[in-house]
Amino acid sequence: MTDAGLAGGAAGPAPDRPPPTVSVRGLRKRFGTTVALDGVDAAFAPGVNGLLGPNGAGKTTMLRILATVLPADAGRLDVLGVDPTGGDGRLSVRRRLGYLPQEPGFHRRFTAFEFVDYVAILKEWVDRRPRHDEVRRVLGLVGLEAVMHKRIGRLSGGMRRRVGIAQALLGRPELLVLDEPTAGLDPEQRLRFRELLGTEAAGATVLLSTHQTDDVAALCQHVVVLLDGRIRFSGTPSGLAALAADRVWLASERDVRAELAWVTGEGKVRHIGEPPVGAHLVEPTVEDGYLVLAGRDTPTDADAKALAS
Amino acid sequence: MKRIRSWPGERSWSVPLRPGAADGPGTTRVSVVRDGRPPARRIAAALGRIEARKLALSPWFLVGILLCLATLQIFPSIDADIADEATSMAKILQDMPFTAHPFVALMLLAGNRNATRARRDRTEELFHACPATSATRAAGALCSTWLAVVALAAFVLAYLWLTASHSESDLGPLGSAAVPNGLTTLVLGTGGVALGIALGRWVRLPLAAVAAITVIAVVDTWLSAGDPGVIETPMLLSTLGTSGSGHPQPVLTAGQAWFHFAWLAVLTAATAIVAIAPFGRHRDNRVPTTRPRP
Repeated sequence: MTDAGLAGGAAGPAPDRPPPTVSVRGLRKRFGTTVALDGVDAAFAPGVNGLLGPNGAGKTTMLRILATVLPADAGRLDVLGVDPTGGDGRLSVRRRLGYLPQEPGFHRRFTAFEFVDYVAILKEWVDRRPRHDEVRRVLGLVGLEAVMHKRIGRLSGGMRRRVGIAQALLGRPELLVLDEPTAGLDPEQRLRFRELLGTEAAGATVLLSTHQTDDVAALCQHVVVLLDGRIRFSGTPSGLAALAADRVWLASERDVRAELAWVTGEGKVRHIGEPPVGAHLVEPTVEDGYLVLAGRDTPTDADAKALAS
Repeated sequence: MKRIRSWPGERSWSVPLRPGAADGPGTTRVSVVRDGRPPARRIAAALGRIEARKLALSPWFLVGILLCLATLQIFPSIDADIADEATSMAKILQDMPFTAHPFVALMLLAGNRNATRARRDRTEELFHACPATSATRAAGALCSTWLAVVALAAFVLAYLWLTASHSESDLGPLGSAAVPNGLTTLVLGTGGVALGIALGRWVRLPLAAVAAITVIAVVDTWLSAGDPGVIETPMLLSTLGTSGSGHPQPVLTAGQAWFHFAWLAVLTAATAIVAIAPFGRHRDNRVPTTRPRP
């Protein structure tokens, strides 16, 4: 299996990427009769790694397992060189981890400063002065200096999200696990988040789950697409976009043969699938590639051959 | 580019330049290293400062303080007025655990609210990904009990001083059982907070603290019932002491007072150990029952 390709088995990084710091083999997780992860193999190197997939695909379950808050049913894990299934390994990972859950929850009666300070103590920062300096630093990074002493209950949803991001950045962790970090952020804040991640998380391994394909295109060096608990793609964002090569068309009218079609802001109809009459081919985006992938159950041999060539 | 301010007083996100900011993928990243790893007790102590602040600001604590102030306003003057052979400073001090019970009950509720905060606010998943365990967090909450002890100590001293200052006659010395009787009141405050934390950590029922207070009230009343003028051993096993029977009782001997204190101290220590016990599902901070949202 190559880095830029459809995945059915192990997904290793390309030769020009650094060696992986996080890898999973045969990862399985079941909740009652629901299979959340079905034998997932993946490897993530330092840099920003995106996880794409529809709701219920298993993204959050995978991130929770890697963040050591949920045990896997089966599979082998290697996180930052240790096995987090053992007590010592788990502690070692937690000491080097920054985690933003999908729904982090906040103590509404705490101020932003108090909350991040509380998390800093849980991350073993016991000396008050350096801890407070670090708390101010991370709150400054997300632009909350002026409101850090306001109660969280009085902050907007986007600002609470930024409090969550700030606590994840405490101590410049080696592994950042961010579950939908840009949910609830306005476009300007999302751009700021990208800027912040590009610098603050440089050198770290970042695992980022998102529904925003433009975030993936802008941020990620590596992207994994999860569908029904299985990895369906592992590669670069451009590789994912390439799945839709020669399949994205712009036409003046909707064509019934299109797999997907929608009206763009310019009044044109963007088609994915067979070319409509009078349409012209356009450059595919990551979103097009994702939609092509999500629109079918299994990748075809033709896809794999096309990518290999 | 124009920076949009989305909230009054808020500045835009910024990324200050600092050493290491230019690190690229592939470089070895090292977390901010702190000398050594702190023992759990230092983490608990640091958490305790925040927990004590939250306890002091909790409505339950404030109601408890108001109740104490109301008690100080009313009862010392009554005690002083009815002073006779049956009411002495020693007897008043002996009755302090009974008088302090409403405050202790409110501290139990406050401790319980602190201990269940993570569950109520759904921050457990985030906290579970941190190196400090839930046992350490509970120990942090337990470190806030000094606040209850200080408040009760101030209450007892104020009560005795006000009674003495209101009384026209000599109420006598505090007696040989003064130390254990005073300590009994203070240990009750610790026990109340500890029980609230233990219940918050191990019992998932929302009204567990209220149920516990009810049970304690019933059991205490039953234990402290006895013949008037006679102190029986079951009375010493009640947190109320000898005043719950509703009948005038003689002053405890030093031995009896020390027995009562020791019993409550053991009970409090056992409750505190349960509150911070690192076993079961709390041992390794995992939430195996969490289900993904569809």
